[in-house]
Amino acid sequence: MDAMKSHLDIISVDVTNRCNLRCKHCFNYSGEQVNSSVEHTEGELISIANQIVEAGAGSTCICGGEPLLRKEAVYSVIKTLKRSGMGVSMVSNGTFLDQECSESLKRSGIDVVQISLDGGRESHNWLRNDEKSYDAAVTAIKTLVNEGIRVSVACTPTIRNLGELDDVVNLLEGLGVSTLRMQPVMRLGRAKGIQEFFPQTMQYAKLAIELAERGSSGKYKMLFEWGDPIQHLQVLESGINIRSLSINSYGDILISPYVPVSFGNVRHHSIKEYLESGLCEISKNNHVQNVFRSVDNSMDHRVDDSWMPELYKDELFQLDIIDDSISDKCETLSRMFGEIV
Amino acid sequence: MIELLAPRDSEKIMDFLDSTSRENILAFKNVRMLREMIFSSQLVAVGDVDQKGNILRLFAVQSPLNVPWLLYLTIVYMSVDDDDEFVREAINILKDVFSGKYAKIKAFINRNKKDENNDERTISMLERLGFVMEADLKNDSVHLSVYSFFY
Repeated sequence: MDAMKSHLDIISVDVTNRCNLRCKHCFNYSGEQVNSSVEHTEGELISIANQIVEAGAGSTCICGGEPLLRKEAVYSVIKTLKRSGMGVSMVSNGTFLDQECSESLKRSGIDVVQISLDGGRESHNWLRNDEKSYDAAVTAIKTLVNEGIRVSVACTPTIRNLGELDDVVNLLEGLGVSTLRMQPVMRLGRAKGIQEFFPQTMQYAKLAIELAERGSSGKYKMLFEWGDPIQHLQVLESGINIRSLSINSYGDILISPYVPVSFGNVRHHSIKEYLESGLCEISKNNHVQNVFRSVDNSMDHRVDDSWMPELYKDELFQLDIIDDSISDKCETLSRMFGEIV
Repeated sequence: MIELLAPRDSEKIMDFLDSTSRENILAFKNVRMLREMIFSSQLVAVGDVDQKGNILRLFAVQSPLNVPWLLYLTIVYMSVDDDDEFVREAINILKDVFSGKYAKIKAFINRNKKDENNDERTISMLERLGFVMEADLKNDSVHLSVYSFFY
């Protein structure tokens, strides 16, 4: 299949919104409000993978929910994507990542698996709402590293785990983890219920400094990353073309996993068709720009967003750039979001 | 209220800089660049902020996070129109942010013959705050004074 020349760096695909955990900070209510009858079949997921290849994206991230609730589908999607030579990663809580799964992921050709580990045992299990999740995550990291799969760890800072950075770093360095990524929690979904546990500006600033210093110290093989989860939206605010897409488990195409607006659905048209219809240029639309400005992370308490549709819980604002009258829809969108910016 | 400014304050910092008659010595081309620098703590800014969140006074330093062999903070914005107490408080906040990792804060003053009065006011303020001259480099085209505050 010939890949079109697109400028998409990455497409993330939710293979399910089901999840075995109910993490307190989950931005998309994974595990709740699930309508499994409309989730993609394995065949549809492979079709999406082929569409991604056709669209010429640089890499794909397999997300969820917990992707490994659909192991066979995940393996098939990875194999499909890897046949094109594309980079493929996956995020997981590690619960289902046993030896057999690790071997299958390796055979499928996955490049990197991101496991979530949010501090020491007590802090992690508190945030993940599960007493066994810390041990499962650590076991998963060991299993993956032993299998020769690159492991990245995502850690969400909370006031409970800020003092545990030394222990986490030493553990992960010893386990052979390649990257520790920390980022402010998104103030969306279930995370709204634990806002008192979000670090304050001063604490975030200190954490950024600490990570930068560790990264430049030369003491660690592991890379340290302090990531801004809404950087992609900040970039889009300057009016450049969209460089990443998210496809949720129902096929909706989002320009950010944090913006409750879909601009199409892969069940209606292919990704390539949306790209050819100007999907990447939608970021230049003034009404859409207003939407970007309404999304903040926990460092950015700019607006009262209690009115905003909840990702995966309420209905998304549906817009199809091929089937709908964009100007009418965008004006509605702007009225809706524009009130708060 | 005097507080550490967050990435979300970038737009207000730009507004503040635009509203001052002074040259934008932060030299930021756009708000996104400023936001990224604050997010990563490469730039740490302390502001006196009113109830609406508008910035009334600003003190900002650049940290050497990406240049590990540099061991000092560099002032990138300070107004001589500010009272000494604001700057002292800002420096105290910076001490807290960096947990005493850096021993000094430096001010590089590019002496401008056209505005000698402003330079003298700046130096006078620095000296009142406890900065001491480290170097005074002068040739036919450049006159650079370097002041440091040790803490």
